[in-house]
Amino acid sequence: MSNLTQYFQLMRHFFRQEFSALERMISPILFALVVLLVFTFTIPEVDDAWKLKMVVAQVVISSFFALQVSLSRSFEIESQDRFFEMIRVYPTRTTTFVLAKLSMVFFMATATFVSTVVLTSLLNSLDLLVWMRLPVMLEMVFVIGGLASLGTLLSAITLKAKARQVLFPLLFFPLSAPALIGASEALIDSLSNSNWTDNSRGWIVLSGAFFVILLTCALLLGGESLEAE
Amino acid sequence: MTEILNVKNLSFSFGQRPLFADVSFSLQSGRLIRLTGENGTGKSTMMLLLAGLRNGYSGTIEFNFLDNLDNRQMTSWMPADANALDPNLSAMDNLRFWQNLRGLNTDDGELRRVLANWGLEGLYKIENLPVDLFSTGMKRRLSIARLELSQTKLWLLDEPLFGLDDIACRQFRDFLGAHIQSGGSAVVITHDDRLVSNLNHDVLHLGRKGEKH
Repeated sequence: MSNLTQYFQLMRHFFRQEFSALERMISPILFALVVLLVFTFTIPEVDDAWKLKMVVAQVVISSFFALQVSLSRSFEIESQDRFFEMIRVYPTRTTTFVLAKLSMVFFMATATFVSTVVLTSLLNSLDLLVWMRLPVMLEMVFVIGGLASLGTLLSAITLKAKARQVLFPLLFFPLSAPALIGASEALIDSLSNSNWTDNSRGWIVLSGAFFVILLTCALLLGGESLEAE
Repeated sequence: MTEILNVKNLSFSFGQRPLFADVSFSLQSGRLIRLTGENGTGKSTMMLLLAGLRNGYSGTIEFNFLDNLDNRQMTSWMPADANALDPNLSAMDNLRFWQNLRGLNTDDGELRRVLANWGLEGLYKIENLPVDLFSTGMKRRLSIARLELSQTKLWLLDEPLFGLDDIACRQFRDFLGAHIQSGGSAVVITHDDRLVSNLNHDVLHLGRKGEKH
């Protein structure tokens, strides 16, 4: 059986897993919604320049914490009932497993991010079309991909750790800082200007590099960490 | 008979504490080995080593499946304390997933036939009944149904009768006998003599402090 076929089989299974327990998908989105509502009711009216910055801050912070909820649970089912050990006894490559898991996590993260963007825009009366600009979308793909890769990698590394619930956020928060800073800077610039600017280009390139590095680490180290003890 | 598993001078320690040392044996097709020993002598750990789930041992474990390079395609493992089932999915979906992972037949008719064979025929009708709601014995039966569908030659079975009722125990004994008769092989850990009493088998005893017979 080819790796590609196995990848699709695993990915199909992971999606089925997520949709069979809808609360796994809904809870991060509800979490983001609550954070956004808190922002809306606590932050006073600001001028347009500040408003854009506040929108970006709300999107990044809400999505980030909602994602953390979702990512820390991404290997939850596999860690029960020796499910993952059984997968390793089957003729599968751990890298294929990690890639399939990462694809599912990327989808979940995108759903959370997009929901957050829509809700934030509605709550702040911001035109949704500004999010369709190429630099904005590119930056969002990079930041979602980077966070999904980092989350998958850390979930894999901490799968066998006894202090998993503590270890995951301890590693995730500081390591994701570059992606969040890059995303904030690039989004503020890209949402303010309809065209590419040198500033946004620089931040987007940085986010892209961060994404590539984390994706590579997730595939290589994530697979390695799931091999036999 | 073809030798499909050859273990030489296998030793394993947890840190400074040796579990077993210099264990050697071989397994031919159509043969069954029963692993015996007191609790804590390393039987389940031996299974993990054979299944490729644990490293850090000395000695060699060699598989010889002539028609397949990846020994995992020809090996099944059944742990003692778990069934490796997705609790949110139905029996059919669980079987489909594991069959897909081996690239094997996922025809509904075939899956239902095997489920019925293990007394789970009513469950597939309720397609969405999650495995989480199954009893311990039903989960074990589903795990055995997966084994039946696996088409593997070497079975590594750690207390396979766990949770099964008398009828299922007898059925499993016949099932294991048929596997051995058809040229398959198995390494079995069981504290229930009835499982292997009517089957020709060799015994590998793991004793305290590396004692073996």
